[in-house]
Amino acid sequence: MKTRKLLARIRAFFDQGAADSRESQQALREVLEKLKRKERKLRHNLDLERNPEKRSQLEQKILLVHSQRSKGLQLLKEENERDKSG
Amino acid sequence: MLRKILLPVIFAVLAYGFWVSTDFKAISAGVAIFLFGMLSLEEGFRVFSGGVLERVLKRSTDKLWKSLSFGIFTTTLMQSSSLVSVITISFLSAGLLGLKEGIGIIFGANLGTTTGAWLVAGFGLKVKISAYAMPMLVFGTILLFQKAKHLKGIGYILSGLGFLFLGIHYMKEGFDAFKDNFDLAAYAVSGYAGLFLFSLIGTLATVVMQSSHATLVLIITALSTGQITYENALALAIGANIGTTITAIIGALGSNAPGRRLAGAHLVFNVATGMVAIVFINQLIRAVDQVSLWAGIADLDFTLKLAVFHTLFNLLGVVLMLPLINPLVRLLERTFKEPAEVKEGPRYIVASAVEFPDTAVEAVRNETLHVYDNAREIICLGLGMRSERVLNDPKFESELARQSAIPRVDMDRLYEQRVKTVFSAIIAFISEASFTWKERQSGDLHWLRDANRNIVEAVKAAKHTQKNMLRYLLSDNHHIRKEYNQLRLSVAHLLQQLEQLRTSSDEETTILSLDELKLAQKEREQKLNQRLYQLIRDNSITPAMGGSLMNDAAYISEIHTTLLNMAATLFTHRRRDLAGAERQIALDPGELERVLEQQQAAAREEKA
Repeated sequence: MKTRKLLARIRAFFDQGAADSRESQQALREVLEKLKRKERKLRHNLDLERNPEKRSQLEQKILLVHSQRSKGLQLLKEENERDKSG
Repeated sequence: MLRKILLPVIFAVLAYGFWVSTDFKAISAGVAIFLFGMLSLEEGFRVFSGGVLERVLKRSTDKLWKSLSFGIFTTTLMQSSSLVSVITISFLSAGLLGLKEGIGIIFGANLGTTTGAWLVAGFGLKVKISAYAMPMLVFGTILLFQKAKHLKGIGYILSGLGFLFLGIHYMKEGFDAFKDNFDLAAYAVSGYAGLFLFSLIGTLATVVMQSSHATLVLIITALSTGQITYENALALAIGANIGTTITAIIGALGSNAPGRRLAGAHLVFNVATGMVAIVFINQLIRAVDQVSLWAGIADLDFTLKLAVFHTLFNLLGVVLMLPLINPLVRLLERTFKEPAEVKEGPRYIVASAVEFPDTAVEAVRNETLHVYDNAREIICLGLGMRSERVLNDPKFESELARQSAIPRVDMDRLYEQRVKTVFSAIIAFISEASFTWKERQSGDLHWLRDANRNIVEAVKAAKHTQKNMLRYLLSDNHHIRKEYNQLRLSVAHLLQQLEQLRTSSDEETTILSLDELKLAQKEREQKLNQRLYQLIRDNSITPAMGGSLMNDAAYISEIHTTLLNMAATLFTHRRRDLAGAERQIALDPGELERVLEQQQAAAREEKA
């Protein structure tokens, strides 16, 4: 197990392309995680809000963040598939 | 004239020396190999770090003690105070460092460079150093042929160290053989005359070799073989310290006023320290003896004593000069003044910054902010507003509504004076920089170039709308007056929001949060379109007015789009990987349109 781990590290060290792709996927995951937290927070605020105008603004924000998340998840899925086929 | 004849003279002297003495040839070859090693080491740090050094520099120099420690540490690591000082100058020129912090680094570098003497005196002369050089050279050269940048960097560093060691070996061999034929010690000069003479020789040797390190190694090897006296070696070391400022001075020639100030500080520090060392030489020698006795260094081990001296007198310099930093900063600021500007030129991008990727990016970023600040003022003036009022005065909206006269400004002239020169300089700098390397920073420069283009387009859009804006803002028809006021207010609000983004340290300020502003823009455009047709139908405005309003709304929309695109690069957080991911996720105009449609459909459903 240790040798395998070491070999993987050495391979990663020499293979810049794979490292870049991993880095990009990691960044996507990090951004998606932030968006998830943001959406959750906005939904919580919407539950507490009674003013119709402010509720409408919050709903628009939620819709926007949700669309961004869907797009991000799709991108991540595509990258994963590309990695597997490559 | 002097520059023209200097090189041939040096060549002639060296050629004569090689012809007369094979030992001299060995020593010179040693110096050449040593210097080549230093070049390779510098290259290695540049390639390998790819900006790491610069990022660390940025974080660890915000206080004087930090910059001092940083100077000591990096110079110890890289064994080149010249490289550290040149990088520091480029940092200062790019506006990343204050003069005080820069001076701290230079002081630290002077202390850090003394570790070189310890390495050579304590290790280099006692161990067969060439035995280490050979494997380093072999491994280093193999790595140099690799494609991956970091492997190449390691290759440069290894071969650099190998050449450094090999150079020391040749110098040592040369002096060993030299002493059998000649006795340079016979030319020793004692007393103050000798001190000044040998200090001058040390200075000149370092100016020629552009490395105090090389001079010091020469001094130590010559001292170890008894070719020079201990006293004269001390004077040579003092001279080497003065001569080393030449690299920083050359580096500052292509720099702006802050860079020159730092090179000035370097010169003042080293000359003052040298003078103090010469004046108090006897006290210093006694102090060296005391320290050596305490450290267990043999009384006749002059090479290690020289290392002690080198450290002591630089330490003395730092102790003496640290309390004088503030007066020194004032003196340098008075001496090297920023030139008065007629046509506003670039402030941050200087030739020396192009060599260091992260510095170059930071310089271009600061310069782009400079362009944006000027552009914002011009856009505001073009729309009959004052930038500082828009950003700072909460009552500006009501004042705008009461405006009875709007001065017309020459936007073309303002653009030429305040934007074009800086913009052109940025484009030229980026072209040169991205040609020099193919690092990740090239991506940043691509976005920054885009941001600049966006800013210029925003100014041009403002210029196109200026004529109608001034005409209709003072029109008797209050409908058209109101619409045009709304248009310029939308720009004012955008500028306010951008300023908030710019000054916010909020982690949530991301490229994605700009989508909210883009969505708001789309919504506003839709509402304006609906109002516009209604106003024409109701005969509230003439069709000609409607046509103008439609065109100008498109220009205002362009100001919004271009400035929001610019903000994605300039005003969001700087983690390269996250910015890349966010750019991918950010919604395009079609996707934003769909979000708006969905929301409107939901609103209709709720009403029904």
